[in-house]
Amino acid sequence: MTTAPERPIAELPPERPEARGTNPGIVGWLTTTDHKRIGILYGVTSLTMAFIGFLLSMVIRAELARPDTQIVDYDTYNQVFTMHGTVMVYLFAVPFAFAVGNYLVPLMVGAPDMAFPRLNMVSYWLYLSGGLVVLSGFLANTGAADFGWFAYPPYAGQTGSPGIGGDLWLVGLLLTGASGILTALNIATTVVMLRAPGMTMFRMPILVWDLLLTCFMVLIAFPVLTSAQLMLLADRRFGAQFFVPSGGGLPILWQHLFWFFGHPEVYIVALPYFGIVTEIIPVFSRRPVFGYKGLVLATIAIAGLSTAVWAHHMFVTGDVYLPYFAVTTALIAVPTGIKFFDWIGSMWGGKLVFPPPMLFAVGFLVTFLLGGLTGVILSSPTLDFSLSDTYFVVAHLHYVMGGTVVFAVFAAIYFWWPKVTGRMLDQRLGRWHFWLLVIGFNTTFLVMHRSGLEGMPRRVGDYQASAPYAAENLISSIGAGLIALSMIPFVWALLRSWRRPDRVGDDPWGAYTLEWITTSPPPEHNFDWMPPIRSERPAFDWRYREEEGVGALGPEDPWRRRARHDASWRPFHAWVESDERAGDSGPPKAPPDEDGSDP
Amino acid sequence: MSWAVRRRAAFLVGSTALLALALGGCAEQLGLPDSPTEQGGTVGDVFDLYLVAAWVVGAIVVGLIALVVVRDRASRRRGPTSQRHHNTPLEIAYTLIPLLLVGALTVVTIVTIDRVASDEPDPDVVVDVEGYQWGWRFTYVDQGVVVDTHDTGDPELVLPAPARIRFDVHSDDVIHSFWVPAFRFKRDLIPGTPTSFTVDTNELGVFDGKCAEYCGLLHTQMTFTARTVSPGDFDAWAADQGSEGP
Repeated sequence: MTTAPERPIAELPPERPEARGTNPGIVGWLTTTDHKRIGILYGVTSLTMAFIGFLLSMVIRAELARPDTQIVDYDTYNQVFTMHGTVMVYLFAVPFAFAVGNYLVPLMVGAPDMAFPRLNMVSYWLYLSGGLVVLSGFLANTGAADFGWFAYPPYAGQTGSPGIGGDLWLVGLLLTGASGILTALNIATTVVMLRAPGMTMFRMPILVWDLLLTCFMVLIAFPVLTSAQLMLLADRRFGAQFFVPSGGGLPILWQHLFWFFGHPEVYIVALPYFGIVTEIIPVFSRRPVFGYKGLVLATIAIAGLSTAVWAHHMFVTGDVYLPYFAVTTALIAVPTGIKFFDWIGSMWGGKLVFPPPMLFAVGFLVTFLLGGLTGVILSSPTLDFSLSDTYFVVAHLHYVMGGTVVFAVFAAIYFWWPKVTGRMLDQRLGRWHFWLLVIGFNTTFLVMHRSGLEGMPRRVGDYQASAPYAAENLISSIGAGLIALSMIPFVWALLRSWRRPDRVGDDPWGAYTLEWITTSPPPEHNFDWMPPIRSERPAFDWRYREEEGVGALGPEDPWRRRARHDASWRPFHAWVESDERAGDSGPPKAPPDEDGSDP
Repeated sequence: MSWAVRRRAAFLVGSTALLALALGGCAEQLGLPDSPTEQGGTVGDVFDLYLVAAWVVGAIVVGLIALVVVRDRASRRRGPTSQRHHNTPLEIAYTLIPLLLVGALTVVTIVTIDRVASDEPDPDVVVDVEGYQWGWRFTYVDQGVVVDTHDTGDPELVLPAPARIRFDVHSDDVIHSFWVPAFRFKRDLIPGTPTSFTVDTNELGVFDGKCAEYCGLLHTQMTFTARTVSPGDFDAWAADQGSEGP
């Protein structure tokens, strides 16, 4: 906080020290404690997981494309949809958010590394080994877990699904759960303790806020899941009876425990991606983020409410108090709505340009809007009795958890690729990628709403030719093919950036946050110098420090006004005059290019 | 306009049209299948209300996004960009208006919950529903009739209409879910947690029924047929079943 000792942030060290103790090659990667390398490890691993999850979804769509076909048998199909959900939720969506958090949080708050660098690497090992254990179920003679990603006992117990795959699923997710808890502690500590002088809470990028609150949700939700999984493992292997009705256990207890994790989980998966688009939209609108404090308060509201809505997954059990969970669930629409209007406000009156990151961010908005609206419909128990466990829910969850994550992930990749590699991804290929994905995604999932309304249940491996939703399933499968096609320009752009690099400077976008001040890729301990941090846009302020009324620099009125305004938001926004002055001397080298776009 | 700008404009118009087409194509067919029950009718009314609200809100937000994306493109704007970063009255407005909207919708939901998920003490017919891997056993408590997947293959759930029917649902092995899509209602059968719900039938017809909660290998094939018949036909059917049954 503001009591952090003053550091010589304005002086360039005489010579950048060599990376200490970094082994070359694979050993170096697996023993590093550098948050950027660990971030890249998380990113590459989670994207590999996404690829595996995507291949599994292709099996599902192939199986369901036509009625009465058996491309895989029922048993395999059940394993495939279980592992598709498992891989996408536990091994891709959350870890990719941790990739972003690992790489960007220290850079964005002006820290040299994470608070606990070694613990950080331990988290990655746990994640990697847990993921491999889960996937190793496919090598077992009885196959992988086949009880769906929420593993309802008694079916997920010893009698329902006795295969070793289920145990591997539980043990693997215990490991990744522990990894998540450690990473959350690490990121939260970094944000609270290691912010640079001047980086008050209310000057942190919204992405950092979103990750901080995500970490608190992880700390609330993951231990509950981990405990429940231990109980289930004890049921399966050691004869415990937590969820075995004949032994006096209660299967519905699992549902309460699981969804007490499961609903915060939905926001654990969503908030970091909200943060990503909140960083991208203002940059390409040439505007500050609109309603910063409203966004933060909305995020806090979402995080709080998300722990009070779990039983809306259990409306059809007939064993929960419906009105309470109907009210809390519907309430979440309000802070989410605030976010929407703030995103639009950030574009309003700006000068919008549409390179691939911005395209994906706007694609995210529309995708998430659809998922949000069907979410309000599903929040009503009256309607959920009809819609629960149908393809309407499948469509809803793929809009909120699938589409938004995927669009935001690609937005993040296109946006921060130049920072991570020093190279640009081809923009023309990026546009092809975006439009193919928009068409493919909506072709796949829009019609699923209708399949659900017409009575198609989830998790069926087949349907009759006379079913009213046969045509919808064919359309869906064609859409899935288009999504696969959309990956060609993306992979092509990656290969091109590798073989024929398009090298760019430190800040090709004219972006706002601290990571763009340093080199691309950043040096070992991130910063050789740091500009003064007077707003949530230090890089922007520095670039336009000569422009009256634009950058927040200088003792002139705009800054004074801003400081008074900020001071009224203590303690979120505590600042101290000496900290404010600490960085005023600027970089001892040539100032950044001024020939970016106009203010 | 330069070629690049025109191409971008074409992309934008094309994508918007495509989206409108996709949404529109859905709109005229969206809705639930016809329901032979009073509860189903209520669900349908609430669904229509929510759907209209969702369409209106969706149209406003998509409209705002489309407006700003088209109007505020860099190629169409000169001069400095507004750096305004908050507007407190506006922010309060877009907090309160959604709050009122979801508040109103939630009130509608809460007053209809009891109507669609009631548990009548005095129904005309009581059907005890047991799900098992992988089939159904329907026991007509007063008539002493049992219909079981083991005996008949795909079982037929015969119900009188109009009549008030209570379903007592339970399971002994794993979780299943009793679902007739046309009733617009489903209820999980959770071992250890038996529950009941009531349906008021008011139309004749034949309807698909299925298990909606994944329950293992043959979950997909755990289907049945629901048939509503006149009360007279129902009594005749029950007597017939009773005479040839076990």
